[in-house]
Amino acid sequence: MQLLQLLVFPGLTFFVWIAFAFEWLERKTAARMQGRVGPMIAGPFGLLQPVADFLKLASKEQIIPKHSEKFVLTWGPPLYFAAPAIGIIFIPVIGNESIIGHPLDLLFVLFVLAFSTLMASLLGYSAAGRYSTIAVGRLVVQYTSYEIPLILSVISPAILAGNLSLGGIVSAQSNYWFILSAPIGFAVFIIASLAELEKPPFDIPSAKTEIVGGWMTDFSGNALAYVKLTKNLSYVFLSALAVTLFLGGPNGPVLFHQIILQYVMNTIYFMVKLFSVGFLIFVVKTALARIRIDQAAELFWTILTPLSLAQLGLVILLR
Amino acid sequence: MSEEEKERREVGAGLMEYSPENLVPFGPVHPSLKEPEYFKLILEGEKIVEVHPRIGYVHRGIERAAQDRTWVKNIYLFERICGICSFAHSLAYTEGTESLTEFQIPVRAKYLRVLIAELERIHSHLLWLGLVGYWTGFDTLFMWIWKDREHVLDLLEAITGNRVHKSFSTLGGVRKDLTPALVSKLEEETKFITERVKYYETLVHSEETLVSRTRGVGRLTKEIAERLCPVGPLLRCSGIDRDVRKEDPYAAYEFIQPEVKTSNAGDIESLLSIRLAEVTDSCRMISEALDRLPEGPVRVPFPRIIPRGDAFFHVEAPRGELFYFIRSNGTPKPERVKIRTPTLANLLTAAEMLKGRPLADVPVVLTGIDPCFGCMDRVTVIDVDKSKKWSVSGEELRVYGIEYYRRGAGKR
Amino acid sequence: MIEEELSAMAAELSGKLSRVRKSFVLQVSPEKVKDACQHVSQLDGYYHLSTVTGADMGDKISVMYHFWKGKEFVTVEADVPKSDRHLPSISSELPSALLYEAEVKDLLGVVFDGNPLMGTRLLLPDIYPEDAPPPLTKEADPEKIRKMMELE
Repeated sequence: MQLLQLLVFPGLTFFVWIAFAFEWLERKTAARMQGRVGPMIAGPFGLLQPVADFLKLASKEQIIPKHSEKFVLTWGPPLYFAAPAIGIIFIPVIGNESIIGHPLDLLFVLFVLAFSTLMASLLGYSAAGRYSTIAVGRLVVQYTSYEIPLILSVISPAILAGNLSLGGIVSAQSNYWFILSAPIGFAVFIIASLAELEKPPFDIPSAKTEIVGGWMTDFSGNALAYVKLTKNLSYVFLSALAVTLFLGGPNGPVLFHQIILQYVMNTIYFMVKLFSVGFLIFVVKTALARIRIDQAAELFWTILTPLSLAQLGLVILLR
Repeated sequence: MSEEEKERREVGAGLMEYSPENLVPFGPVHPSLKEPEYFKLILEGEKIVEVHPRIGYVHRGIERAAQDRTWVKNIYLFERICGICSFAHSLAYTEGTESLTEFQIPVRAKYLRVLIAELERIHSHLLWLGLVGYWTGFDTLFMWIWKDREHVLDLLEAITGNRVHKSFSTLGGVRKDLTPALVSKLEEETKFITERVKYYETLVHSEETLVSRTRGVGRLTKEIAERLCPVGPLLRCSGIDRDVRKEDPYAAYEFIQPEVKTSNAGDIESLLSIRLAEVTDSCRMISEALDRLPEGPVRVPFPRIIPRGDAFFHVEAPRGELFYFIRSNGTPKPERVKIRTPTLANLLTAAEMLKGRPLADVPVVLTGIDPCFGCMDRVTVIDVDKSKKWSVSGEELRVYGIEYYRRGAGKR
Repeated sequence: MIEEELSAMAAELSGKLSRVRKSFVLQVSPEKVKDACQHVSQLDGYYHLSTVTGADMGDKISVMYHFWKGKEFVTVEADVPKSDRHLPSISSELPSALLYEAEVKDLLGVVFDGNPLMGTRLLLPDIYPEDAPPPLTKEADPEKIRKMMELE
């Protein structure tokens, strides 16, 4: 039963479908903001377009560059995919506890975030292209900049809840959401998520007008399909983390006594919050231009790190 | 060697020496280049040390081909040098050729030439502006501006019959006349464009991420500009107010004078404001031309043989001074036509502006000169393709294609 | 004003000054090109080198340097014999001529001594045969050049 939950609902399959929906929402939002129509052929309102794109890309031939590290290039993408796929099953969806909750799973989730960047840089280096080498350099610089504000902003809810498990943090938010006492933390988390996801204004490691495809330049076919899916899944993962840490997770305004109904309502609450956070990120990302890597580092070190430290102090005082 | 002389040498001296480890290719095929062109970038980390252009990927042999065509046929040939400033090419060629003769062109035709030239300037500048959005990762700006640009293209189509290769200017005048319906449409659309440009003007100076990518990027000083002789908006952003329309008026520019905007900043942001100001100014010039449009014919018959002589002629294309040297030997065909497009003049300056900048600035600066590589490479005769004949018919291509894939399949 | 200065320059460089409509053409011998260009570019406002043009005139190639100010062009013209296609480069004094000279070299085979780009090709494709006549000269026959390329 637990295995079924892990693989289907509310586990991997469920989140992969949400990842596709996120891509659709991202493309549709950007298109509407830019005066276009966006995907509209495959499925109703073009909903199946991301799935169609994935299947097409996955069925294409993979070209492995001559000088690349073939072992990493072959086995890297599945590992890269594993990072958010494992992290995401710790997110509580139907109740206060996730499927395989653990008293210290917040730390594990943070490790997964770091691991995902590590895999990305490993993949970029193993391709051994000039563009991907530059991109990995940028990726690492960006990672060292945003990681500290990200972790500092994650600590605030943990202190407020007095707990290092995601389940515990969700239960502590049954009365009020932590965004009320840690609004700066939430803002910093969203900005750092944009950097983690390589979205504008932080799409520096994959800036196509400068370094072609960034660290993904030399990927093609199956591997590229999985890398892209992983990016979408990370999107869901980070949005879900924001919902869990700051927006009360699956907690809703109305409680039901019937357990099944409660599960259904929790899932709906969670989904609404998840898509709202996703939508927020899409709008921000569409409305901004890309900045340079030195400007990004400056932004994180001189503005966001002090801000998140101030938030941390405030939270400690509040508690 | 004096300090000054040393600096002079450095402009060209480093052009050929580089170490291959630090080389990052920018092109010939690259997402930020719309046409194939190759720039070798020599990097130290993220910093650019040297830029070596290698042009010539879209050579079509137009200067040579012009020697084998008649004066009239050449209008259509030169127009195909560039898809964006096609009218500037045909204008420079026709006005230059007309200056070799004693013929007087109708004044109405001159006004209509100004009208189309300014419409083309608007569409070219808007195209570039949208691309700035694309290069800085600001796709929303790109989409918005290109949507507005469609209005201008529709106007061009309504007036001349075509969106790109307009073939409007011809020897002895212009091919078509304006109708009253078109005049009112023109007035309406120029008002619309002026309003949109006003909005973009506030946007490019207030949107923080865009400003951080354009302000202080480039830094072209007056001294460098005087030495490297860039043209057009790039020259004006360094503080030199040279505009061919103003200094050496052609067509009807002596009656409808442009306002020349300059700036001393020399960065990409000032290029943005100069180009936007020029769009507004072009809108003003169009409505002025419409108000003062004289009556009369738009075309006079023109001889097939042009008298012997040399003509040095230049026009202000959207990208800057477009130079034509036309030499006639008194036959129905020109002896030599030399074209210097603005991009070739600006290329060296762009390479100079890039030195010492981070890699992230490459697309913005390199394309900040509004490069048009199709314009720049036009002269070689030899086609790289090794098929048997000079011209390949559709049927031969089909056979060749089948043969090609049969061979490919056999190998597998 | 400018006419006086130019005629004085023509006398000094033993050149010939002529007027083509509103422009001036200063004809000098090949070895004096550099001096002439430098002098013209130091005239008030004539620093803008529009381009360098080469034209095949049968037994010689005329190379023209066009300087622009206001309504006039001042053109420095030198005739290079086809048997000895060499000219001093002006690129050390006027760096804007770098690419223009390289273009003339590619298309007409005139070598500008002192230009750092003379060793490579700027415009011509790499497969253009070395021993073929430059493409814009009158001897260049497209059919023959195609044959030469196919032999490789």
